[in-house]
Amino acid sequence: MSTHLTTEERGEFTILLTKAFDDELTADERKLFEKYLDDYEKCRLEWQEYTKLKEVTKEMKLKTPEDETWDQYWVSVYNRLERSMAWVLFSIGSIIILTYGGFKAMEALIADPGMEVIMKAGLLLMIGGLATLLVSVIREKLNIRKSDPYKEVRR
Amino acid sequence: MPDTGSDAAQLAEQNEAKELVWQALNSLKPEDKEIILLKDFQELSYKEIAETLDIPLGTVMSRLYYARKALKERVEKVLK
Repeated sequence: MSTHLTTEERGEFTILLTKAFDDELTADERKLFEKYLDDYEKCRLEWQEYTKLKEVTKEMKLKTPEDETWDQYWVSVYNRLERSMAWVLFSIGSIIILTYGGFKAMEALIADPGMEVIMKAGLLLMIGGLATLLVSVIREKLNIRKSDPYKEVRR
Repeated sequence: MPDTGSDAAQLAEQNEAKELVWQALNSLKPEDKEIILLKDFQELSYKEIAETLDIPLGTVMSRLYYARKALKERVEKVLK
């Protein structure tokens, strides 16, 4: 009994085994498949392993979700969308208030004649540093997004 | 009187085996998992799968073979 199939035989056996697994062999294909099993021990062993897998998978079927499950699913999708939109609006509003409010507060502090010059300088440096940091981080993120070869990889 | 003890043990063993197969299935590459689900669980024909995935019929059978081979190897790994 030979142990090595040619590439062509390997290809043919692959198709026959798949069809045998799905009980879709024609009469002629069944004869050819059985000949492979008789002539090649490797084929026989492989078929035995697939038969075991078939015994388990044939008992497993996907359950059709009940209507109640679908209703709950759509309600949860709606809730998630609604809350996402609410967070986006809240975030935009907060950014506007904080930025404008912060700007006005800084303007008032710097214009205050009672405040020490060194404090004003410190405030200006702090604002300048934060702004530079923000621009630097945004620029880096944009560059990475353009040039990262692994951006499609799911971590 | 029927032996309910061994029936329950057999059922538990079957359920455990199914759970292992599900775990192995979920660990496959998406294209392998997809074709096994379409054929073995949704019971589509080769022709229907070919139309769904827009691939030739021969490719369906070839992909099924390699997907099942990968599943078989994963199941064996999980069992060990």
